[in-house]
Amino acid sequence: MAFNWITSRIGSALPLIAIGLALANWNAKPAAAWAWAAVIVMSVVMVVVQRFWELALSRSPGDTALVRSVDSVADAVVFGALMMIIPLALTLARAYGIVDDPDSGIRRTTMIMIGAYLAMTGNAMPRMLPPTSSMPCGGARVQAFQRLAGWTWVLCGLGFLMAGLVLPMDTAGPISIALVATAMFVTIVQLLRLRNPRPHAS
Amino acid sequence: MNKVFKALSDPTRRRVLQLLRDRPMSAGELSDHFPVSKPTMSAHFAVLQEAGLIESEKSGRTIIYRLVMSVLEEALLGFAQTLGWGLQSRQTTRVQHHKVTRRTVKGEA
Repeated sequence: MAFNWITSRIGSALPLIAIGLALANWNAKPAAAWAWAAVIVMSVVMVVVQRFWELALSRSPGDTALVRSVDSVADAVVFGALMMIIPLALTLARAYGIVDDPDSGIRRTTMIMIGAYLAMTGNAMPRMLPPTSSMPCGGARVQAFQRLAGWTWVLCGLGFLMAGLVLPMDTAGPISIALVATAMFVTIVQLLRLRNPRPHAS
Repeated sequence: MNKVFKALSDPTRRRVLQLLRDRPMSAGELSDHFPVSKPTMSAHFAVLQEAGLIESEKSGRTIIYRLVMSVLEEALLGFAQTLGWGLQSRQTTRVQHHKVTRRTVKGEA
């Protein structure tokens, strides 16, 4: 409960911090105005989406599926905003001469953030199950798919995170792309198998 | 997280979770796998539900239970199964119970 409250408050504040940092970067480096404008637009979209979901929840507070959706949106906003804030802060620090070469740091931090986000999303994937009555085959196949997808994305996220943490950047880039491509391939294949009904044994 | 550890510490509850890994099952189907009374099974289901590891859904007159475990919780279940959490405490309880029974019998004799 306390964690949700903190996530919700941080989720509201982080896009505003990103907007502030984008404006400061715009002032320091006006040549890249389009990039700062894009950050501001994305941050505004995040705030609007979060407010929309919170408003929907306030209208029907007892809806557990809606509560889960709002939590997922809040988590996504926190991670999305952090992924913008860290590079923005490092770029600003570089512009003011506080940091010499933040490029490697930005890439590593971004990789670690993306890896953590993928792992956390994968971890929650098996819990995002619709009611059994709404599923074909009594939900057994859907459950199996979600478990496999969850494990796939958790392992992919942890691999991504570790690659960003320990490998040289030249190696970490291709390895992380390969990991995501493999995870996507496994998920899509399983999804296609789920959509095609199994032939009945005669 | 404490509730999850409590739920995973019992071998019967772990077996319930393993059965639900295959597919959602009704309370009756699950109870058939265990030589315990229905109220005992209901208590186990309640502990699992409280820990957020399973969810129940009413379908007509039957209650269908399904797994809602995260990957981390599933990994914990795997560890618990491998390391046999709860077995030791259960065996200790059984030995103590046996000792108490023997003492009582000797006292009566």
